[in-house]
Amino acid sequence: MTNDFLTIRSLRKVYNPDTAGEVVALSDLSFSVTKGEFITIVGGNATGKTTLFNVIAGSILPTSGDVLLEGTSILKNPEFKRSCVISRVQQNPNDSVIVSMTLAENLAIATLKNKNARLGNGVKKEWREEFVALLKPLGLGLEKRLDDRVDLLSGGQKQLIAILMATITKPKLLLLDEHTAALDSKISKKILEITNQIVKESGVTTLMITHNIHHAIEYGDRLILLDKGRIGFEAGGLKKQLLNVVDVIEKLED
Amino acid sequence: MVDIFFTSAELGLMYALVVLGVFLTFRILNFPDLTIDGSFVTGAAATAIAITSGIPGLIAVFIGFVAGFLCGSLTVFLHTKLGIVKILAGILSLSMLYTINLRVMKGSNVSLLNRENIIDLFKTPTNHIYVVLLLLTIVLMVKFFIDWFLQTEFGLQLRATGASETTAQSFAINTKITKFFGVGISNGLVGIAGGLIAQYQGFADINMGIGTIVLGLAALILGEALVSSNKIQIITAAVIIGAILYQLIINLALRMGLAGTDLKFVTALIVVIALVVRSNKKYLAYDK
Repeated sequence: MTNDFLTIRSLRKVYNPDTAGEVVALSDLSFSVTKGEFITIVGGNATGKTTLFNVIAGSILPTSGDVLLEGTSILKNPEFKRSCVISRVQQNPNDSVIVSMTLAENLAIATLKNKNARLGNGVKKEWREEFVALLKPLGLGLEKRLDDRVDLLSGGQKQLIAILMATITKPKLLLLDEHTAALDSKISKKILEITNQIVKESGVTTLMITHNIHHAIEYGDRLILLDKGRIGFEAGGLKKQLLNVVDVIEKLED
Repeated sequence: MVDIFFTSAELGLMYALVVLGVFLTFRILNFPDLTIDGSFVTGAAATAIAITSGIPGLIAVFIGFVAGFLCGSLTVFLHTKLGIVKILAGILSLSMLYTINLRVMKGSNVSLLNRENIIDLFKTPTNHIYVVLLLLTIVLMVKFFIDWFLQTEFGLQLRATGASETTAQSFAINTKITKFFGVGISNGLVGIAGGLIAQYQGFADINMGIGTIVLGLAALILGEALVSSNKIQIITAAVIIGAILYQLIINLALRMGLAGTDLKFVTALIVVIALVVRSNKKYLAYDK
């Protein structure tokens, strides 16, 4: 019996196998994550970062290998069932929210995540009060825009809502897939600070993909560098604290 | 001339149920469902058979709903369980329903002459108003049901499924279930419309569903062009008006001397004009 919360075991994903266009996205990738750990994942383009998240979330099946959550394989669970315990925020602000619905309706959908949807009112009055309490501390005035459609919000505001939606039901695992990549540096920093605060307060186990080496070093307990679908470099604890950007860039370019 | 308005109101209100069904699938669920041409006939056939078996007209209409719902379920089964793409699943269902409808009716049509039905109960030789009021009551009940349903917990999940299936699944929504009920209810409404039309015209016929989907879409687009709101309550009201307006235009075209064969051109023209009007109003579509 180990303390591993999430185990990635010999994960391999090959796109277009046995064809001229064959691409090995994940190559016998193995690592473990302990409960409450915050891991940042870096790597160049096409090193398998998003493929790894797609496999964990259930969007795609791996060619071989296994994903264990609390010691149990989750590969046979369809995406919607895994979503009960795994939340994901995508790179594109429009992919993690329902843009054609209101802010309150989006938060209600997230609130319903682990409940059986019935024929009661979708956005309950008591929920609206909870949403206001959730949005007010952000200081963006979103608590006054509960009935606005989400497509009227800015990209940064949408990502903030996406993070709130992803964590409102306290998931076991949070996947952040370059969730600040499409935002300017100021908004990006604010969102990362809020993300960090939510992760710290909730203690949710988190994997965060980023292309920003500064962010990868500054945030999280451990840094994993993916290279050609496998771990190229790993640093945690003191070793991570002593890392500098140049070190990581050199590893990336190796 | 007054006749034309009553006839348009009667037909428009009956077809408004088709349009509300099309609204549920095409707009809310983003499911281009072609089953409708078949489920319209199935609803009519089931209602007609029920009436000829002595079942009261109002209950027969409910049977039409159940029959239509089953047609939608067939399409969703083909799509979600067998992995057939939405449009093809609808076409295959439509093809199967042709045979099923012939079997249900034991022939190509069922006459309802001299059979008591709910339209006859409200119809008088000189007055259409009671039939219009009856149909208006049914359509408004359905409208308020849809308005309420789409604001429920399950309704929110259904709308999320249509807006983005991937995002919906990431919020633990079983999109197979939402599609099942969404497409089922849509076809159920179309089944009711088929049943009412069968009672109105006094027979159910194997070919009565041809063009229903085109009619539904045309009236939907026409209704949407009337409003610039994203509120479901307003859009459902607009599409009902669109359905009546569509029938009015068609009836006026016929009255002006156009032949029945010209109506396809008129329908296409209505859609083109509605789309241009909508485009010029910089309509912020709720399905985008």
